[in-house]
Amino acid sequence: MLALLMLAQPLFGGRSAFAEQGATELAPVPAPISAPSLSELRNPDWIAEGRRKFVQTCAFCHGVEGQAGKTRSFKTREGWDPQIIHDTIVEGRVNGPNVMPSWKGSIPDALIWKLVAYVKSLNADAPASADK
Amino acid sequence: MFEITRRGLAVVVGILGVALVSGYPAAANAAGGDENWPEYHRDYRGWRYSPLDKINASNVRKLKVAWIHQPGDIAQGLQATPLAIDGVIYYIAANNRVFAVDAKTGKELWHYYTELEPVTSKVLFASYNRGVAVGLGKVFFGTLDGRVIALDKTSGKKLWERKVVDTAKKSGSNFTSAPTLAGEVLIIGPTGGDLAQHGHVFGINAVSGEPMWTFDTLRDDPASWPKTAIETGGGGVWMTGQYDPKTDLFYIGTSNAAPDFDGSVRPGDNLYTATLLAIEPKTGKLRWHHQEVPHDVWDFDSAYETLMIDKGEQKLMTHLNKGGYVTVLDRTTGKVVNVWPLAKNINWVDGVNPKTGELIGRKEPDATKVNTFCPSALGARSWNHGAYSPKTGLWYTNAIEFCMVVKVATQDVKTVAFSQPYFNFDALEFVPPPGGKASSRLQAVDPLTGKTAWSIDYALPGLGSVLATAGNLVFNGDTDGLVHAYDAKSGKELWNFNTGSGIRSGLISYAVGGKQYLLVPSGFGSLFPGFASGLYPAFKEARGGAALIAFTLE
Repeated sequence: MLALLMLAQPLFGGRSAFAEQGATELAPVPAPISAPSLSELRNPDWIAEGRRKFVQTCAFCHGVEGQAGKTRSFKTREGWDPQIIHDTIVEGRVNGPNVMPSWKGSIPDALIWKLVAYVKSLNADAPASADK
Repeated sequence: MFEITRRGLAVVVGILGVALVSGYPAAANAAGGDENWPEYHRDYRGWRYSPLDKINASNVRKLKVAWIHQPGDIAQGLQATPLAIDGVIYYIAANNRVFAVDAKTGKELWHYYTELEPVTSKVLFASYNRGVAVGLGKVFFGTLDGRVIALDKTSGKKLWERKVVDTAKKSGSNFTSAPTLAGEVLIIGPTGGDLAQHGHVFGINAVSGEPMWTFDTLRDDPASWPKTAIETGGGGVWMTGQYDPKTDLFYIGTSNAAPDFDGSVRPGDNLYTATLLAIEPKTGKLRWHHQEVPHDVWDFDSAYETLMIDKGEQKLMTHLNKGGYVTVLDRTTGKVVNVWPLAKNINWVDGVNPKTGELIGRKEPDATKVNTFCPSALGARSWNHGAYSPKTGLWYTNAIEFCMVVKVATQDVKTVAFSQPYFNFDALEFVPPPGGKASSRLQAVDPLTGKTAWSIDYALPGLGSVLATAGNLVFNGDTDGLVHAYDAKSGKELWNFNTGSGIRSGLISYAVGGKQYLLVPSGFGSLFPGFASGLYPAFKEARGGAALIAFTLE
């Protein structure tokens, strides 16, 4: 759908001093980390950190608990493959009229897995916990 | 590139630009004649009113489809207002596909598919564009990757392009709205009120593409911004401005201040956010400004259209802010004449002084608890425009009643991801008005006083721009895809047609060879439905699409 043109000028420069640029710019894409285990994804500290990032970054589109957006509520999901959640955050998604941006290079991979942990914690098959 | 222009150099460039521009007659831009729709709102007054009346209240039910053109890409639907000039339709669709189409038959004359930079896969404001500008033999538009492009209007071939905003370095700030031609000056503003960046208005020589001037929407003044906050203060200019050749002023409203809900990091009045600007188009100099929401902490942009109405000797303008108030001003001086509430539920202030626009009794979000504010950050109305009929003296506008629950949470701005909205909240939810129900309507109202003539309830927020015509008709598209025609005086529904996908665009009317057409861009999209689907679950299933549908009587 998108005709992408690789221009001569570098688009993904290094992250320069924020005060000088006055804007968040794209950083070089760091190497992804290997997928964590399900028990790591259930770590309450991961879920808490993921929630903080999700609320600031994702909730305006998806709702604080993933109830909004253009996909069905995260609370109805069961058996959702964490790798798919991760890859959707990294690559973005275009589904008919619905467009989600790619977060590759703008959220570190380790933090993306924390987002996955929070998203999984919202699902119908998440273990009940005092944090929910 | 505009990014590296210093203030002194900008003045020099501006002077050179003025020297190069030959000066412009008032009618340089508009292809005249009742049959045309030559610019975004049809003319600079923002009326979205067609003087054609062959299609009228007595025969509108006989409308039938004449032709359909499809752009072939439905990402974020079809949000543009097409232009109709001398038998040719010009419009822009998903991912900056631009088309010229025969206005009688729908046959494609040419297309231009913009080759977009990879950064466009990462931007928040993705895929859509609200329109092109046409004049001086050219078609002008802004791109999702921060360029402005001019095409030859007959062949569609690119004549020039200019990188105006470095989207990759501005947290995804880009162009999603039609530029405005003021003689030979092309004026455009970027997205980014909600991004951690610093906005501008740009003046470009429309003939050559050379930059002429840059206007800083964030005033470098300690009373307005601390040094720590100004570079991430937002100040987008994300909708189309209007050039009045009589006052020789370009009017545009700016976005909210960033971070949207957290005023603690940006004490001051945060000029020129949430402000109406009157800019001299040849120089970029500010003639006057009126800040509707000083130190905005509710995401109440001033970006929407103005209506220009002359009352006797008074040259007035009316303007809706997202916070629900309509301000009436003298557009030569910026003096406030009246302020009236469009929204029925307003609680972020106790009121507004109708003589000055001063806010009375502010109620701000805070970090210690949740609070409910009405209207919500999605506005008393979304960006889709109203229409004004000089025959009825009424402004026809969609309106929405729902609220938001907000709790502020400051974050380190250095952790804000690229193109992440810079809101600073720990809780945000859209809710019905306290003790009431969420509701939506199409309202016919006196634009100067707010007196309502009629109002029609809609099940879901109306997200299309209204069209009024001399045939005593008002057309409004809904999110199910129905386009409705109403009697402009009474509001009685006279006709509707199911286009198959929701309307998020601008309806227009034009004529070719004396035959009048209604043109409906159908195809649902935009960010609003996703944001609001917690309150309106029907939005999750709303079908996308993209089709330009022309109707005639025979």
